[in-house]
Amino acid sequence: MAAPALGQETGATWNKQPTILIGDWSRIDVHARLQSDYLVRNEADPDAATLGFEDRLSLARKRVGVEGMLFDRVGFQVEGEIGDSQPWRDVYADVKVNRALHIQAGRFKVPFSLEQLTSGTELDFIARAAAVSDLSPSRDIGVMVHGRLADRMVKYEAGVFEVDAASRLWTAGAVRTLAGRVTIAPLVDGKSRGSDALEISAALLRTDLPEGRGGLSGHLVMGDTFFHPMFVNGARTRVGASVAWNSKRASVRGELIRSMDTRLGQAIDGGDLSSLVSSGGYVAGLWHLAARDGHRYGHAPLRALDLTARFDRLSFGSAAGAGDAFLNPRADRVAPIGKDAWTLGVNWHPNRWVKVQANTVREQIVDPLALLPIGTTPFWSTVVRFQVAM
Amino acid sequence: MMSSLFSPARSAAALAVILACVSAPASAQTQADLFDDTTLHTVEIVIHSRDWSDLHEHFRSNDHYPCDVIWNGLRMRNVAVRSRGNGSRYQNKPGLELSFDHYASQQRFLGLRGLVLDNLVTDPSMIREATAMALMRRVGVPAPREAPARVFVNGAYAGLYMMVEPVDTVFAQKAFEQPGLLFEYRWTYPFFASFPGESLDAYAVLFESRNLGVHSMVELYAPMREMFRTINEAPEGAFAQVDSYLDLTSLVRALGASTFMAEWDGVFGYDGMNNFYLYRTGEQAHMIPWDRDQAFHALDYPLLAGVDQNVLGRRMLEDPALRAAYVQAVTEAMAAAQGDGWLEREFTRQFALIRDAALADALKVATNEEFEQAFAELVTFARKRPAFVQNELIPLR
Repeated sequence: MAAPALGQETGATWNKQPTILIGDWSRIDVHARLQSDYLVRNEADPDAATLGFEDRLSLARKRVGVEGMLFDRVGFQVEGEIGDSQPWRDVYADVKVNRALHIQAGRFKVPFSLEQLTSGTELDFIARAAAVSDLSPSRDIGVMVHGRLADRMVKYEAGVFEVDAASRLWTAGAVRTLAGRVTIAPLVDGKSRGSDALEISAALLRTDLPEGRGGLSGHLVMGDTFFHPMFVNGARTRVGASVAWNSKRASVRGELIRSMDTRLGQAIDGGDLSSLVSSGGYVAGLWHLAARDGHRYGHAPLRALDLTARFDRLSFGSAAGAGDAFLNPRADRVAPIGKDAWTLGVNWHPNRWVKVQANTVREQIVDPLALLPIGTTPFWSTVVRFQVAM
Repeated sequence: MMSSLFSPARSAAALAVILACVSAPASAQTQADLFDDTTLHTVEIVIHSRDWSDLHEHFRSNDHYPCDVIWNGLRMRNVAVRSRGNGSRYQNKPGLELSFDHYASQQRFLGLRGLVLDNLVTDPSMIREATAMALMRRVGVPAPREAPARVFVNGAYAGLYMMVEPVDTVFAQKAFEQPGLLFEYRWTYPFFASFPGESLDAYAVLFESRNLGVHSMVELYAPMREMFRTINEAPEGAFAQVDSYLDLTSLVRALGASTFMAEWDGVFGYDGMNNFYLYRTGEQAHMIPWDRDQAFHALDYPLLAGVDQNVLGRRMLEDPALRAAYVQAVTEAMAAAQGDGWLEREFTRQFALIRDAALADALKVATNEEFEQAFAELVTFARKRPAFVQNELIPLR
C-alpha cells in the first residue's frame, strides 16, 4: 500500500479506481472486481459436451472493498464477496510503528505461500497450483507483526491465527496456527536493497489438529476430489519455500510445500498411525510478449500480451507405517496418490481495467497401485476468464 | 475421463492389492461357503470405537468408515462399512453395507465387491427375505444368495444379521453372462411406470447408476427414457415391443413368484414401484429383485394388487400372451413352493438355524414372543396360500 503523496489536497480522484484524499495524510481507495469464467472443455465430466452456454458460464468473483491509509500510520482494508453467505474477505488494520515493525490485526491471509498471498486479480493463471490451493491456508482471523530489516533486504511476518474463527473466536477449544515467513530480496533497487527482481522465501506453520476427519484433500482443477481427507489428531506442521525472479520481459516462480499431520489414536484399534504427508509444488513462467506500457516487443500483434506455462504436482502419502499401503482414512501406510498438471495460458490486458485469460490444463492422476476408479489417463480442461478490476 | 482400469500394469497392481488385503489364504474358501445357508456364520468387525459411535449417531448418512472384517478365519482389511437401508434404517441396530472396493477400486473378497448385512428389523420372523430369495432362485430368477450370521463388533455381540449378496456389477454380469449397466431403483415418490418425461434428470432421480467408471447421462439414461416411452406409448396389441427395452420373459417370471409370495412392496408395490434393480445389456434391461423382507405379507393378499395402478402391469396383462405367461409364472412359483412341502420345510429349517441367535439378539425390534409368533404365521402362509392362489387364478386363465 503506497503512502499518500506529499502536498495532496482533500478531494477525490479517479485514476485506476476512485480515491478519496484527505490532505496529505490519509487516502481511501475504492476497489471492485468481477471475474467471469467460461468453460470451454472439461474431459473429466462426460456430460460437459452437452452443456449449454449458461451452464458453461460462471461468476468466479464479484468483490467490492476499500483500502487505504489513515494519518500516514494506519493502513486498512475491508473487502467482501457480494452474494456470498460468508461475505467477508480481507478485513484488517495495519499499524505502522516504523519500517521494521508493523502490527496487523483482523482477517487476512496467513503468511505462508507466495501464490496464496498473491491477489486473485494479479494471478498469472486462472487457478492456483493444486499444492497451493489444497495445502496452504487462506484467510483467518489473527494478529501479525511484520516489517523490513537489513536495509529492506529482509522481510519478515510472524503471527498467530485462529482457524475457522467465525465459529469459535479465542475460545478455550480454539484451533490456532502459528505462522512465520521470511523473505530475502538480495538485489538492489535504486538506493536500497529489497528489489522484487529476486525474492527467496521460507515459511513455517504449526496448526492444532483436533481429532476428526480433518486431513488435507486433493482436487482436480475443476473441483472434483481425488484424495479424500484422512482421520487426524494432534498437530499439522507445514513448511514452504519459494523463489521468484522477475524481469522486464519474463518472470519465473517456483514453490515447494510439505505438510505433516499427526494421527494420534486413529488406527481402527485405537493405536497411533504414522504421520500423513502431503506435498507439492510448481514451477511457472511468464513471458511478456508485449509490455503493458504499450511498447511492443518483436511482432506482438496485441498490446500487453503474456504467455504463461506451469507444471505443478500434488501428492499424498505417509511418513512410514507398517504393512501394506491403503487409501482408507485410517490406513497406517497411506498409498501414494498424486496429480501432475501442465497449464498453458495467455493473458491479455486490453486496458488497465480489463484482463482476459485463457488456460488449458492437462491433468494426470498418479496412482501406482491402481486404487482409484478414475484411472490414470490424462485429461484436459480449458477455461477462459474475463476480469474487470478497478 | 477415459478409464484405463484394465491395462496390464494396473491389473498387476490390483492383484497385489487384493492379495495384500486378505490375511489368510482365501483359496480354500469360496462364495458358496460364505453364502452357505445351512450354517449360522460368525462375522467380526474391527472398527474405531469413535467410528462405530458416529455410524450410530449419523445412521441416516451414507458415510463410510474403515474397518477390518473377519469371517471363517479370513481377515479382510481395508474394508468400508456404512449404514444402509430405507425403511430399515435403525439407529440401535444399523443395517450395514460392507464395501471391499470402496478404498481400492479393484479389491475383492472371494470375488465380491461388497456384502450386505441386513439388520432384519422390519421382519419379526427374520427369515422372510432369505426364504423369498431362495424361492426366486428356485424358479430361475437371478436373486441374491443369503445366509444368517451373528455379527460381533469389537468383540461385542451386535445382533443377528442376514448376509446378503449385493446386487452389483459382479453379480449382474455373472447372472446375465455379459457386461452391462446396472441401476438401482430409488423410491423417491409413488411412481407407477408412467412416462417421466424428456429430461434425463428425471430418470437419474429414479434409477441410481451403480456402475464403475464414468458414463454420460445420455449413455446411462437415454435407453431408459425409450423404455418408459414404449411402455406408455406402444400401440394397443403391440405391447411386446417393450421387450426390446425390458426383458419381459424374465420380468414375468419374477413377478409371478412375487405374486405368489404376496409381495406388497415390489414392482407393483402398494406405494409405487420399489425394491428392484435393472441391468441393461445392449438395449434390453433385465429386472433383478431386491429386499423381500415384506414377502409373505398375507395369505389372502390379492394376486393383482397394485397391477391396475401400474402402467407396466396394466398393459402387460392386457396383452393375452403376456397374461398367459404371467398366470403360468404364478402357477410355477406355487408348484415350486408346494413341491415336497418345500416352503414350510424352508421356513422351519431357517427358523431352527437362527432361533438361539435371534433370541439372544437384544437389539432386534421384535420381542421374542413376536419372533415366535411371526414364524407360526409363516407356516400358516406356507400351508394355506396355495389354495387361495388357485382360486384367484381361475378367472385369469
